[in-house]
Amino acid sequence: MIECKNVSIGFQDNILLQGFDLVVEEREKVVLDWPSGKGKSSLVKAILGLVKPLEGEILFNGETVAPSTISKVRQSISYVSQDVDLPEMSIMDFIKEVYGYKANRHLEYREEKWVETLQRFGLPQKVLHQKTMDLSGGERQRFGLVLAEMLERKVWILDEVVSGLDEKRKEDAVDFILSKEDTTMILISHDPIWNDKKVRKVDYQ
Amino acid sequence: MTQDIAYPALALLLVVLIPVALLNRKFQISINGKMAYAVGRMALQLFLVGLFLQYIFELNSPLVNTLYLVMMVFVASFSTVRSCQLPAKQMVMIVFVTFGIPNMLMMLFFNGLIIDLDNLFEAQYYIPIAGMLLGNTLNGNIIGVNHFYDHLDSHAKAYHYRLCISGSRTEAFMSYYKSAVLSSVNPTLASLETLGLVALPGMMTGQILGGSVPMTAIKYQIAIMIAILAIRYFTIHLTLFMTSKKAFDEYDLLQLQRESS
Repeated sequence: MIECKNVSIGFQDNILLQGFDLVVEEREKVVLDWPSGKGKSSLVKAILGLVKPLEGEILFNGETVAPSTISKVRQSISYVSQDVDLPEMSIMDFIKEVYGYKANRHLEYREEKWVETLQRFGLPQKVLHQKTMDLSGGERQRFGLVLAEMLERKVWILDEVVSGLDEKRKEDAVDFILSKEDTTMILISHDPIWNDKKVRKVDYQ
Repeated sequence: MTQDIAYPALALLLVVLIPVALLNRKFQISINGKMAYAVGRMALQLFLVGLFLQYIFELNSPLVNTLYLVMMVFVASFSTVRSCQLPAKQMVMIVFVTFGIPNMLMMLFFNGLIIDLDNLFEAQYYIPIAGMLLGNTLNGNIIGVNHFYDHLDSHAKAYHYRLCISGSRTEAFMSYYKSAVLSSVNPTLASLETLGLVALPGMMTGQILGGSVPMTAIKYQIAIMIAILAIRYFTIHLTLFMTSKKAFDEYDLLQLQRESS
């Protein structure tokens, strides 16, 4: 499903990750767990074409991640970044914008499903009528997970999405993530909550 | 004909600057040198332009007039590129086209259909109207282009997030594009609302001083303001659209290297 072959990431004078290999099979859940500053976020950004590897190749569904395939790759993945960098606008306008993207027009906005999913992550319905800037860091992370769910993608990349949550919400989020058995996931996390879960941990090479 | 100002009378105007200089000295506001330089430079520039325009007006050649317009468009393009810190080699020709085409079309439309001139390139109309259109377009372009690339730069993470939730490049930058267009035309809209109430506009005042009846001056002013609004709008769209073609890499990431001025 996703394959990194001999990938090096960083700058010429500061290599973060060198000769990294990884194969993530379909429906597998992989947790990247190695020290900070060693290129985990940059690696997942490279999968999404936001960072260019210094060397190596990344394949998504057998195709090299390249300018010709990057739109297809991005349209196949739900990405939730550590800070969930929402643009400054009302949440509802943002949702309308996302559903208005050409690649998302096959999706149907259903308020009851949004409300149900928001509530599943402990977010009230009124969030829909708030401004993105009014959300706290934890709320933004949970909103990012809700949006990931609503986009109905089969591959998720989640960068430290439980780090800002309290224990109860963290448990709920992890249960939700693991309940998505058909979804392939790459997670970045140092949290011990994954230790006894059905995930594969990958260490720094 | 307008009452001419004699050169000694013009020099007499410097008298009003004497108390300004004295007050600056008393309060130790050190701008006297700068002020003298600015006034001197302005006078010299305008005299030279005056001589040049007098020559061009007498010649009244469509070719020379158009070359003069092309020169003004070049200066405006360089000024935009420099003020917006765009990479000059990459962008100056693009900006030249985005300035030149709409302004030239608007000039022909304005002179041909609005003023109804027999000679579309008549220097008396062609050059001052081109100057007003270009000056306003320049201003609008600098505001809009700076707004667009500054916001894309400072909101890069939000832009990337939009790409990752399936926005195309255009969809992902559209909110910054819209606000850049607004920032470009808003000053003109605001001045339209207060025109005549807060201040009498320069063109109208000039025409009245030149001997036109007020209603003719007002009709010209209305026409030029509408033309300025439209040209600012079209030009910022075209400039953003054309520069954005060169400003992103093949992964839709902003690769524009701003140059420090």
